[in-house]
Amino acid sequence: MARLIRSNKHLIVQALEEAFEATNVQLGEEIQQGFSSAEYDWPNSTSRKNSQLVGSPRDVIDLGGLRNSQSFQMLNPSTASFTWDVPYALKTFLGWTGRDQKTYPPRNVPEDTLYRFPFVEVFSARVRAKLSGIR
Amino acid sequence: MDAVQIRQPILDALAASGVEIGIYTHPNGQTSPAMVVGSATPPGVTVTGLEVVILPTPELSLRHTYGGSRGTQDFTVVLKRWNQDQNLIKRATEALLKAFRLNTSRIRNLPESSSNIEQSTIKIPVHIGIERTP
Repeated sequence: MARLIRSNKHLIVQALEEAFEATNVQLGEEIQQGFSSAEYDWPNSTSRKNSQLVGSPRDVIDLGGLRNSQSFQMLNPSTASFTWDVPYALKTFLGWTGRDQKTYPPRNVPEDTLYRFPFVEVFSARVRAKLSGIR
Repeated sequence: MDAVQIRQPILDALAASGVEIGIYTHPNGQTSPAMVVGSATPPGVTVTGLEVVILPTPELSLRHTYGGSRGTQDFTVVLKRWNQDQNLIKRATEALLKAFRLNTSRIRNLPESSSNIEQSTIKIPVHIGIERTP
């Protein structure tokens, strides 16, 4: 009897984990792009701190504090976490309603980017590329 | 299902948990439940209590299979508090979580501040399936 046993489990798991992290890094870059390219309708005009007068539609960037506060961390091999660490992050992403009943719409760049980003396709392509090197 | 059709299940969910919906008072003095399909409070009305805003366009997420297409429509519902009841949003979100069997990852809460009222955004998924005809 002859038997050939091949065990590449470690290499396969490693390929999946590396591909998942790399795909999330790419997602993070797409979100960064989204801050300056996404445009949102807005109910009024605003004089920004960068001295621009903006109307509607508009991007999300004023001085770039929100965009630059983005950080990324792999909590474990299958969980990625993105954080935006400025006090107005939640208001920007969710929109808000003032006490005067004026509503300011959400400008949720991360979710809007995630919605468009072909995560499965990018992840699959990376996994295939990594596994093709395994014999 | 469209955004208008999800109004009643939301009203039923709130009522089942004893959460009272707020009131719109229109410019002519008439009142109606404080619920709207749109992006904001209707112009000219005054709001008290719990306001429910249902965004008109759900996010569609479809998976295509050999048997057809399956997926979800995510309806975005914004709960707004126009009174002093600090527990109102919490009770309303719990009512929706229970009725639609959602977990808390579906909620984003924005606390009250000097410039904004308290609000909570909830994504309610409705499962859809489109069978492929032979």
